[in-house]
Amino acid sequence: MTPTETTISPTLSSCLKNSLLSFASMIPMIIGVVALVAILQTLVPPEKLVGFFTGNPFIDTLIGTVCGAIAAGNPIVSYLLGGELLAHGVSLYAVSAFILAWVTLGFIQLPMEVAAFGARFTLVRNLLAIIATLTVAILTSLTVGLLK
Amino acid sequence: MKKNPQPHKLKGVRFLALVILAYVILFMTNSQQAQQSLVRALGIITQILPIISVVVLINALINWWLPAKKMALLFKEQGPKRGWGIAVIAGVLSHGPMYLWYPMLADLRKGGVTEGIIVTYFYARAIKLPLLPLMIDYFGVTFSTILVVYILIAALLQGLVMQRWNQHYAASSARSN
Repeated sequence: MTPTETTISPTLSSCLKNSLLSFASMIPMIIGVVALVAILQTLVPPEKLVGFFTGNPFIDTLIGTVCGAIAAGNPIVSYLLGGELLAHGVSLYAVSAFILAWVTLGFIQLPMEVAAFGARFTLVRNLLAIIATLTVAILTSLTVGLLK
Repeated sequence: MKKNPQPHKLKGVRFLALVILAYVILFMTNSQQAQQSLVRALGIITQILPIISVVVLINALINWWLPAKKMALLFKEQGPKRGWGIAVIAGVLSHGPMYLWYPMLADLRKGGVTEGIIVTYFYARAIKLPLLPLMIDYFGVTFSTILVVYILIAALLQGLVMQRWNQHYAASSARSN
C-alpha cells in the first residue's frame, strides 16, 4: 500500500473510534435539545403548539420550510423536533418540510456559500432547493396519505 | 504535518447550560412540572439510545468504505465523465456540515465539473444514510422510503434545471456579444 493509499484508507477500528468521538462531541447538544423538548411538552399544551400551524397544507409546508431553513445543527435534532411536532398533531406537510429544509437550506451558511461559489450560483441553487423542498414535502405527504 | 487541535470539540455546551438554567428556574417556581419534564427527557433519551448506537456503527462503516478524501478523489477523477451518478452517491454518503465541502466543490467547479452536478450533489446530501434508522423510528418505513425516493428525483431534476439554465444563460450572453 502506498503512503497516499494509507492516508485515504483508514482502518475500521479508527473509523469506529472517530464515529464514537464525533457522536460524543454532540452529546451536550442532543441532551440540551431533548431536555428542551421535554420542558416544552410540559409547559406548552399540544393544542397551543398545533395552533401555530393553520391546517392548510400549503401554508403549513411553507411555515415548516421557513423554520427548517432558519434552524441549524445536526439533522438528529430536526428528527427529534419533527417527531415531537408530529406526535402533537402537526401535519406531515409541515414536518416533512421542516426536516427537509433543515438539511437542504441554511440561511446561516449563505454568506459562506456566496464566498465559495458566487452570488448567482448561490441564489439559483437556493431557489431551486426551496422549490424542491416544498414540492417534495407536499408529494411525500400526499403519497403517504394515499398509501394509508 | 500540523495536527488538528480539537477535531471532536464538544458542541452545544452553552446551549445545554441555558437549558439547565431553565430547569433550575422551573424547579424553583414549579418543581412538579420540572420533575415531569425530567421524566419525559429521560424517556426520550431511553428511546433514542439504541438507535444512536446503530447510527454510530453505520457512520463508521461509511467512513471506512468511502472516506472523505477518497470521495474527493473519486469526484476529481470521475466527476466530468460520470458526474450525475457520482454526485448522487457522494451526496448520499457525504457527512459533516455542508460548508466543509465548499472549498472542494468550488475547486471542482473550476476544474470543469458542471454546476448542475454540484447542485445535484448538494440536494442528495439531504439523504442521511447513517440517520435512516432514527428517521424510520420517528416517521416510519413508508414515509422514509418515499421521502428518500423523492429527494433523489428532486436532486437530479435540480441538476438538470441548473444545467439548462446555464446553457440558456451562455447562449444569451453569446448572442448579446
